[in-house]
Amino acid sequence: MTAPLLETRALCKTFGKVQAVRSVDLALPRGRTFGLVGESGSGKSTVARLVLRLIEATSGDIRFGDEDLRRLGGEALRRRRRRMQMIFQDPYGSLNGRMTVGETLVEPQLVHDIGTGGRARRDRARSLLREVGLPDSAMDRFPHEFSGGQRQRIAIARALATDPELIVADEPVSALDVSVQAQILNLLGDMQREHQTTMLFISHDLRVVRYVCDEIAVMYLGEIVERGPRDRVYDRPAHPYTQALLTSAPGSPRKDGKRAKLAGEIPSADAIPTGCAFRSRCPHAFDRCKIEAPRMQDVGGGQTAACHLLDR
Amino acid sequence: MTAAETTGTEEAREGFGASPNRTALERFLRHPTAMASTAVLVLLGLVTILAPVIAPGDPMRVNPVARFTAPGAEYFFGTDNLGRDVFRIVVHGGRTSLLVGLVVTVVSVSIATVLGLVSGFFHQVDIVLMRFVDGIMAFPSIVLATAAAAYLGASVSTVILALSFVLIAPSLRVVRGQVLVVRELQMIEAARATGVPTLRIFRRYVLPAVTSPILVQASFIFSAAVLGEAALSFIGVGIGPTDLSWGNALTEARDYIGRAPWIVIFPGLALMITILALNLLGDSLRDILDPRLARRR
Repeated sequence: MTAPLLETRALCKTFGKVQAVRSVDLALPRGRTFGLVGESGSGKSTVARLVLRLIEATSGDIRFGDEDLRRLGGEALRRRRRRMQMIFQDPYGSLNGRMTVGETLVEPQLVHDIGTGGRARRDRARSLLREVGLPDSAMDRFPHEFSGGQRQRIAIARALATDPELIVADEPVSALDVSVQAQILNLLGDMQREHQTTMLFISHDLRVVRYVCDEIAVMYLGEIVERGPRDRVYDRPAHPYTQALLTSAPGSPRKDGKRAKLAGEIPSADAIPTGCAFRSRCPHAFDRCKIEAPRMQDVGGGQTAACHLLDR
Repeated sequence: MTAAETTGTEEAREGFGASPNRTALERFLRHPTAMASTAVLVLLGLVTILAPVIAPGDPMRVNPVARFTAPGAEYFFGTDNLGRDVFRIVVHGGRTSLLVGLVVTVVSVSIATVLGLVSGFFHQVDIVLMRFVDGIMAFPSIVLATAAAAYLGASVSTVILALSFVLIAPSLRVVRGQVLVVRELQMIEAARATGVPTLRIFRRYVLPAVTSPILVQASFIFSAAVLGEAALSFIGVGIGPTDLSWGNALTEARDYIGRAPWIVIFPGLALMITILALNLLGDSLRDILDPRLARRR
């Protein structure tokens, strides 16, 4: 297996007293879709912004390809953005309402010196539109003339415009109607396969993640508590949090009541419990969980989890 | 009116031809107050530009024989203490008054826009600039302008300089406040993620989004500048006595207000109509461009 395209080591981000991301290790294999799951407030969107350096990490390393992303400054970083693009949750807010769709799709090419001349770039913009299933006539229209799903298609086309190696998709379908979600997910999947793009796919929706991702990491209060190949994690979740998430997900097959439902709210990130962060909501918590934070350990089949129960 | 013009063919689509703005233009055309005040301002502008045609002759020419002639067929607005034609004074004086207003507006609003963009995006600059602005605004602006004008000597350029300086502060506040709102919009983060250079983000994302409030502000600045020039000239630190402006005309007329009120009334009326039209235009622009109102349609 080749070296991962994106790798983080002990990535941390604190906002004042709030520890949003606590020592996250990620490794995104090339050409695959990596899912990051968790409730809101778990720090997954912060991770998305950290790995793209839209916000600066407090500590830790980010390797992109063979370089240390955190060492890149100003213009070098801006140039590197050609190789890593992002798709946002809100297709209404992430597009500039005063630019036509054509201008929106030409801009990434323009600022990264892709293509020569306006005509070539507009041609490419049109082919991108076709690729995401929009007609050429969309070129001269403005974002507000499109539906949410169509706008997200435009956002996807914009992300593809630089032919990036990495696409970070932060809750790309959460703002869309359920009927549209599947179409956009299919489109993302097709694009990822066709372009052999590596994707970091962030969502709170386990069904969505299962649908598109090859590998999954589950985040809780800024930490990754479980990670592994999709089917392993879904079929044999090792961490009580993952188990609870799967049980509480609507449409979950496991309604046998043997697994505990997720009780209460996620604690505030400025008052994280000592020891295991999940112990305040964990049905299996025991004494050791108060004192000692569990380490990630191998549970076989490429799956790892951080729970003291695994020692029993 | 400010730096909203974009250049280049590829970017020509942006600006007032763009459809979100076209609807604003349509609203403008259907807004009676906006149209009426614009008409008045255009008329005033035309009259002053065409001053040599409308009121030919040297407005400073004295005619001792015809002193204090009441308004009538020969002298529409009457004559003053030196027998000068008040109509001519008002029409020609408007040139200076409106020119000062226009130049001050363009200068102060442009500078405020640039500083406001920088201030809204760079915290360190913001801290310094805002304390500076607080300082200027804590001072009555006319006193400050008076001091500046008195120090630099009376002339048209002095007045423009002094008023521009004083009027940067309130515009800067407006622009900066707006930039602080816009910078949090997700499209800015999306642009950064795409790799759009900062300057281009300013130009293509932030500036268009703050243009509306800047336009509104500009109309108020215009009226403040016209009034400021009149005030400075009235107290004798404005443009020199040999130049004509509405403020100057009022100064010279004040001694004869009882004997020949028309010398005061007509320049005063011109000033009043201009200020009123500008303020009404500003108010209606605010109604038209307010995004909340726009969205309600």
